[in-house]
Amino acid sequence: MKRTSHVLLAALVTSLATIACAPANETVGVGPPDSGVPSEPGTDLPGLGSASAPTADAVIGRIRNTLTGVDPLAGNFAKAIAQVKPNLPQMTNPVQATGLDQIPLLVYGACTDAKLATYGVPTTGTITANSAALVAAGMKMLDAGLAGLASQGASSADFQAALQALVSTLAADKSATQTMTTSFIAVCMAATTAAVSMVGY
Amino acid sequence: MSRASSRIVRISLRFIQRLPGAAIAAMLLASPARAAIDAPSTIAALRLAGTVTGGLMPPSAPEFTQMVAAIQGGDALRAATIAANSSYAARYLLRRLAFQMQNPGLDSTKVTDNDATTFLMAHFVRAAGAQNGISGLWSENATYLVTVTRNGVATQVHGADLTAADLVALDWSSALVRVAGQNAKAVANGTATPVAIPDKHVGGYVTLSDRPNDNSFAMVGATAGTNLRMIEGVWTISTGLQVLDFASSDAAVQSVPRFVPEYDPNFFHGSGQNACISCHGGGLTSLNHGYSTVGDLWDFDATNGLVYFAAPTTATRKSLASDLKKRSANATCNLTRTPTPVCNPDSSGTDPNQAWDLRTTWGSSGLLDKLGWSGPTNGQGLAALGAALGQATIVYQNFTWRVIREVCPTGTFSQADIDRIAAAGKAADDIRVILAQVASSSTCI
Repeated sequence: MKRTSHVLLAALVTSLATIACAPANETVGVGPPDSGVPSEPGTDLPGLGSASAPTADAVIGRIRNTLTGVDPLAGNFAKAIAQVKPNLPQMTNPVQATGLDQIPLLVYGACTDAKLATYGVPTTGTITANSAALVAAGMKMLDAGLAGLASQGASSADFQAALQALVSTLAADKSATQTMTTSFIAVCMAATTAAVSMVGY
Repeated sequence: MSRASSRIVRISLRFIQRLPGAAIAAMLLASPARAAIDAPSTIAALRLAGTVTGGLMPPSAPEFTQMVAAIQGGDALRAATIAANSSYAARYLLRRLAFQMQNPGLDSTKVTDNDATTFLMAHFVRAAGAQNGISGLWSENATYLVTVTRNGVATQVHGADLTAADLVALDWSSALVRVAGQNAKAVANGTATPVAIPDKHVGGYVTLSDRPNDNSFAMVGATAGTNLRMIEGVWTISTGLQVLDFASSDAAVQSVPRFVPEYDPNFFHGSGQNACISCHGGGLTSLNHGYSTVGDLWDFDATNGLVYFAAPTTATRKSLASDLKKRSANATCNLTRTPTPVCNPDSSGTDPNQAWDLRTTWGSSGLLDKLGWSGPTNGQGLAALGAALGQATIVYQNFTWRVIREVCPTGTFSQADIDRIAAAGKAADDIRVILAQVASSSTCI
């Protein structure tokens, strides 16, 4: 695979602008000073492949594939689609696409439709006591979207650790009492948004 | 959103922001030796599925497993072909391309499912006895209905009748049903009745619309105006060229439609604009370059939808003026009258047999060579023009460019790459061949 460069990672997480990645904009499509018309983005990166952004329909389809029991025609997912879809990317060119920041809002709607029981997460008990179930739910969501790479790939421990960190943060939250439901939604949002962003890029 | 919910979102986003930087990098850089599955092949398959099907293909689909196996075997083209031929690609990218072709801006957000969409989809997935693929988009005389289940009964509906629930479950390759012929409305004494469009005047998806306000190409091209939009759309959407790319001031005034005022100071020599004659006489809207095939035959209104005039009259001929009240005066075009009619007295007028001759202007200008024109250069009627257009090399090059913009928007393709892929698509008469070749290109994956 040639697609392991920092540039790829930068393109992958275009929607997550705060990620500290290699500075794609410094290496893509920038010509020398006073060189006339700048080159098209990517034209100076032979063999590094192409980046693309998911369009609105792609985002909806990916969420549907990632989460069990959510329906784009019903529930909060449907309501969120009605509200958010026009704001999601309409084109795949990541240089021109806008609206990737809207994906978490759509994911939030879908995650409120997902059932804890479907993922084996108890609705009662403390977050700490149920942290393993929450992490497992997040891993299951990631796996559904990423063909099992989250749990079976070499980075399985990284995914687990990141999810565990999230659950621990929720458990330690002093400013607002988190319930199992809110914690599940938080895990769901994190896992699903990541999966949606990682399927094709 | 409640305060608690907002906090969930914030916490989740903080996690997401950390996750890709660490975990994704680790995943992408994963050593296969540590992985329980073939991570590089799976990642490549995910990527192909993500670009070709928008990610609609779930990893649990049998096709996905086949794609992984193909990649493991070193055959990325086969993997991309599996994705391109899947129902997921049809539901996502091919339908998106079909939507785009219904307005000059290629804006899929302005389009809904309609008869033109189902026609395009049938040709894209080579379904339901479609007689050809890309080559027939502007000429095949057929309508494609969709089989759906309503109240437990299989029912054939028009594209505009598809519901959101229908679309979620729809398999475009098996649900389409070909019905020979196309219909429009004939209006007489204020009453509209369905009428079969004669073979000669069928333009494939261009002349398909079964109702008002269906956002079809026909609606965009034939609503009000003079039908210039219709012929311009045929040319620009099929070739990817712009209106001025076709223009030439080396044209005869007789080739200019009747409604263009010959006495306008910009008619022969533009001042701050192109000369009128360069587009209306030498460009897309010349009587010889296809305008005669549509100018007087079509209208689209909010009551009847697509209207076909079997026997155009002065009152209905849009080539005389967009304002029907001025058509009679423009038909006569007596410039001594007051007020002066806005017209071209030397115009030959639209040909009553809907003739077209692309050698006029475009032969000498070299445009036909640029288009890769290999079909007849003259004929009569929109169907013959559309059939010839479907053979032009530029049509396949344009589809290649469009697919690149969708699948591989920042990839690097040489003209030789474009030509090779376009040639393969033309030989197969199949957009999915273009799609698979683009997606599996080394610059794309």
